[in-house]
Amino acid sequence: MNLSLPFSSVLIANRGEIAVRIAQACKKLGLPSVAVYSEADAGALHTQVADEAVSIGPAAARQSYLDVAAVLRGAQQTGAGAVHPGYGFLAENAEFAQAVLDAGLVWVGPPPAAMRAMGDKARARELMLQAGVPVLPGYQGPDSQAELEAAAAKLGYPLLVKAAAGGGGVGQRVVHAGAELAEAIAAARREAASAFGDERLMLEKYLATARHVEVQVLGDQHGKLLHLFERECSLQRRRQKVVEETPSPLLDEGLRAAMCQAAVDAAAAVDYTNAGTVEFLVDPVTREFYFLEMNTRLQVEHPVTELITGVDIVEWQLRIAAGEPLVLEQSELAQRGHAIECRIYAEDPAASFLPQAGEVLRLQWPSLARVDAGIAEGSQVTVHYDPMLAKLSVHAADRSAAIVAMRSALAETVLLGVGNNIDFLQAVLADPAVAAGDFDTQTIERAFAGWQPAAELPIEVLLAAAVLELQPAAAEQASAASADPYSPWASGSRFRMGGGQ
Amino acid sequence: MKFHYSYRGQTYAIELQSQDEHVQAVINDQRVEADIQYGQPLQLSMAGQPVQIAWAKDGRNLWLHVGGRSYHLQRTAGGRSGGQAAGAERSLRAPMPGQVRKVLVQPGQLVAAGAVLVLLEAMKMEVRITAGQPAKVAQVAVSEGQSVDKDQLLVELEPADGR
Repeated sequence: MNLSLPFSSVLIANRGEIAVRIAQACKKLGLPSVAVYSEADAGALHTQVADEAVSIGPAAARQSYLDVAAVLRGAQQTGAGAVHPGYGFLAENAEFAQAVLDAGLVWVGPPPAAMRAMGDKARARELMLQAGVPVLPGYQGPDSQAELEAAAAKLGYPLLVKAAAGGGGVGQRVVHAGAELAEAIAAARREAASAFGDERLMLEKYLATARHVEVQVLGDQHGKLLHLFERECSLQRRRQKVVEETPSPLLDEGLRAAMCQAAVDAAAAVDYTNAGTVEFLVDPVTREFYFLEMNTRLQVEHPVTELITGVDIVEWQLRIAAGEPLVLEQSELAQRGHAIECRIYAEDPAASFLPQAGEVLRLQWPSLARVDAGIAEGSQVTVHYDPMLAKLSVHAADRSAAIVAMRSALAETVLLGVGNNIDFLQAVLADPAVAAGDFDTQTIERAFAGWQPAAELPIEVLLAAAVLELQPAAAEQASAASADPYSPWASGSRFRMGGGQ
Repeated sequence: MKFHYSYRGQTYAIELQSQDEHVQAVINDQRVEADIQYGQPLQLSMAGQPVQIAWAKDGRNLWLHVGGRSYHLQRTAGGRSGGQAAGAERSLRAPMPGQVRKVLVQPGQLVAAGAVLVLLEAMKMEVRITAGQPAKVAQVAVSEGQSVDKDQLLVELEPADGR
């Protein structure tokens, strides 16, 4: 497949692992990439992996990664011909997409009109009903405190207060009774304003027990729209996903076919192109499913879909943006084996998942997993941005083999100097309910409330600690010498495609 | 030489004797011996069993990875490590580095148990600093918009009845 892209280079309007991932996809296509960075990210891994890097402002996201004018200036300065937004930040901001197009650049994403239609949840719900896609009862409209309170009384509890813009669990609060509503509204509004620059809120009926299952879609600019099957994302903490997998252990062929068709219908209803994800909540008892929202962008957990379908989603995003037709056929796509992804966060799972900061002093990735990382040894993890550091993904013949492979990969991962959730991920994967595929979006909060890592300290750990005190000079020398020039990690690129494994 | 470490609230003592690449140690009255090979990872051989330990050190902080798990130890001066000083819960400190989004109280103000005193933001998340019991605000040590380090004093409380 020869590629003659109508743009010279791609500006990646993001940071961290996804910026690294996109730079790698550009490299694969022979396209130069341009990284943007804030003052807090000078020298960060994503700036090293891209061919060029341009500074766009101070550490605060609102003055850098969320600043439309600053990002566009970066594109202008570097002569980039296209903009890939990644996920988060400006990725679902239709005004940004339009500004990119107005500047004469190619937008690597869906049409702004589709983003607006899906970004406006009330309109999205209406469109979904027309398209025959089931939705949850909810409220979207004038959102003063009084109006939300009146709507909540009508809707009943429990309900979810959520940001009308954005997603990813930010700006959301579950409310179980009217007394909690005012505070939830205030908190959600502050978070929404800070994260998305848009403080509009909406309400939605809250399913106490639900599975979160989403469907990946991919559409070209010539009318072809495909689905790449589902992802099971029910294992969440604080409404943010921790472990994702595909296929979903919940679905049978009938439910899978119905949900995948609903996802394609949802995307078709807004003339969707490029990569997107239609999120559903599934009631595990009735097996009814409801449209939750469409993420009009690349998804964090796209690697598991890539592993089981063999489709490089980011590469296709660039090809589709360039006007290429999809050469894939729905009938040729299949789910081969089972893939699991774990998100490694800088957080303390034993202390309400509080974010952690610090320097990555020692880092060694597992040998038999796909690694999508935004950090390298020596990276500073700051409090300015999302605490996700990296993703590990494995692909195996079936689900139990994939769990075993992931547990090996987690055990092999050495990440020292910054508190993280690796031990917690191990505990989650060791849980019998998780192993049985029997869980919902509340499982982690229910089963792992008050979770603590094992308290006992093996003798060899204590011995090693003391030994390192005794001969610090020798030890530190050895440490410096261990910067192995033949290590695959010394190449500056921490991302490896595992699609062929 | 004797060293003390704290790990998850427990203090551990280890006494070490070294003859180059061979060490003898007493840990909790238990004698252990090991052959060591410095490097990254550090290699210990105990009773003929080799163990590889990846490690990182930063001042008093020590991180070790062995057997698929990581351990974060802190070297302490020895003896019993302080414990919470009386009234420590009256000093509310930042649980993580971040930015002060909102200060909701003023010095002299009486607050109920559970009252939100300060909102911190870090990594897009909001953390509420609340009063553990009814109290009077003695001091507000931060202002809105200010960046704070982990453990930095935010608010000082005193008993509500002035005792």
